[in-house]
Amino acid sequence: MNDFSILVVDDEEAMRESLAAWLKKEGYRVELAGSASEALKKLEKNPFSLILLDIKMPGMDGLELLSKIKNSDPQIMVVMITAYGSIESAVQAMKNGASDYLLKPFDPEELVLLIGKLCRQKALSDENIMLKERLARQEENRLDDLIGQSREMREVFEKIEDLSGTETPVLITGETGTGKELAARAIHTRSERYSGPFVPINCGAVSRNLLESELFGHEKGAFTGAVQARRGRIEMANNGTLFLDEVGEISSEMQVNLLRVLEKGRFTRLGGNRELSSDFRLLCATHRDLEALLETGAFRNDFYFRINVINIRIPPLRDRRDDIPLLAFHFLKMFSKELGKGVEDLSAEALKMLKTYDWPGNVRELKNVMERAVVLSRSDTVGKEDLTFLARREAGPAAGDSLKEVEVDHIERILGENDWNISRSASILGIDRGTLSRKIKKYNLSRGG
Amino acid sequence: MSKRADKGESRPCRIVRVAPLGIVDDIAVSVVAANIQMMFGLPVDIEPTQSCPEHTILQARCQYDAAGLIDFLAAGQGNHAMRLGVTAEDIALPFLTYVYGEAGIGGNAGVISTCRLEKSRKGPDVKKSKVYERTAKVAVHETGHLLGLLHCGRPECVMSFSAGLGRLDELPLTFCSRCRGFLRQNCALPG
Repeated sequence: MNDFSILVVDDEEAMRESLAAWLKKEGYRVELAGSASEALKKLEKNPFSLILLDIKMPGMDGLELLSKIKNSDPQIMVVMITAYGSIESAVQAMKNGASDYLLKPFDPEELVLLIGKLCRQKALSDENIMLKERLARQEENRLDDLIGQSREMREVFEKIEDLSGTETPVLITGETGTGKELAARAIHTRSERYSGPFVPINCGAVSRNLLESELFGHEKGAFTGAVQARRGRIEMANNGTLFLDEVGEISSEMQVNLLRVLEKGRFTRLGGNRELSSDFRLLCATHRDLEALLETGAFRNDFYFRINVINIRIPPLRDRRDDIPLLAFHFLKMFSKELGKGVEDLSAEALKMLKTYDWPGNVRELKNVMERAVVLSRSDTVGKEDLTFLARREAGPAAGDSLKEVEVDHIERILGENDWNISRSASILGIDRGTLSRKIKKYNLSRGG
Repeated sequence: MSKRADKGESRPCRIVRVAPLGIVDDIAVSVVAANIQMMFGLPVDIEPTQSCPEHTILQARCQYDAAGLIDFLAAGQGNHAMRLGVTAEDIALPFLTYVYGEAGIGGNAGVISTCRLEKSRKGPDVKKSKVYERTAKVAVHETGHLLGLLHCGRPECVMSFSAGLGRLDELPLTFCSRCRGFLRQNCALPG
């Protein structure tokens, strides 16, 4: 059957039955509703590509139903049909978001052309979303490739290549900033799901309540502020890859919910009744020691074994110092081009500083440092003097530093190491999100120094 | 765009009864019978002419309801036979301004009309041979539905949907390989 599904809503049984039989001959999946309330029930259970909606019906009429449908799902296509056509109702229907308008009885040629046009429109819109996602992915890959020539990183690359063509769940471990998401993207782009979406979510960056809605989506009115229905990340990842970053932050209850989705492939949006399905591959990452969390009971055994079929450990930058010059030059070129600065080289002293520094924030910290160095550099070479802030980081606060300077430096460092993730940085600093946000504003801090 | 219906159980060989409804050109009826026999390899009978039942008239439109005619033709039919009505009256469905023919998927009755097949796209009548060719295409198309075929997305197949005479004239009187394969498994298709 065609995956273009149509709901016919008409109070005249003969009309809807014969229209449905005719559409089925075209290969469309067709369902029927004899009233607005029946239509709303069907829409709760199944998504449809197109609704053929009669305007004149007893009880709630087609125009009112159209508003309700569009209010809950603006993307759905609705064609109004009526035997009582008038310019006024046509104008009203189009204003309320109808895709088109047909007068009963229809000219068969007109009906076929219209449905064919809407079918192509939907295919184009789906393709457009997929291409945008792919473009964004390519852009991100271009800017931020997983780079390394050290033995440790070559082992990581080999493992990623070995995983191409498999559907196995993978757990990527490593310290913050080592490039776990880049590894996940690399696994996705080498898989057969490449043409599907890569949908990442940082489970540590959203509150527990919000995470449920982010993952499962919600129906309109599911909670205060849910003004319209929204697809969750699980739904968005259909035919692609779902990447749960910082999976160690997920609560036990959420682990149970996710386990159910992984086992059945089906789920419901928050506040909804209809069961939806999503076919996705799961990749997870964490900087935490999940085995220690298993012992304390904070992480469930069943969920752990489900997500940790294959483990890839990304080494910290201090354990692969040979990669530092390669990465430093990569970021130097990238930011020099991006900022139009013409900085092309690193002095020997600057390189030595980079190689001896401990990089607690790993590649992400190196990237931020290089961006700052390129911004500060006044010649075509980044020198030792452009990295003085690095020396201060390593040395810790100097005797002459004021309390404010120490605080600013420390906050900046933690933010940089955590990719400006406010929740995570606040947690490391031992303050709440609001306090950190106020300090960022007060000290006028921003990404990239 | 379209795909075939689920194959289900293989049907036994079915007879097709061509039923002239009202005053209709005898040659057109013979053309229908001959083409169904040739294209599907099924035995075909021509029934005596009978009137179109009055209750199937769509009063406000001066047309006959194709669905009503199908119900009339299907009454009392078993699964062993299919009935294809042929009429010169203009036929339509409640939601469509006209149809050249109508039949349900896997049903046991269908109907075709020669009324609109006698015109050219611009207005004046066309040659009789063209009318018979169009009649044969519509009859084979509707019989295909009775045997379980959906509309076919391939323009080289007679099961492709033709809205308008221009498209009908472009259609060949042949099945594509997929529809032919389906029919071979479901009825005694020749060759």
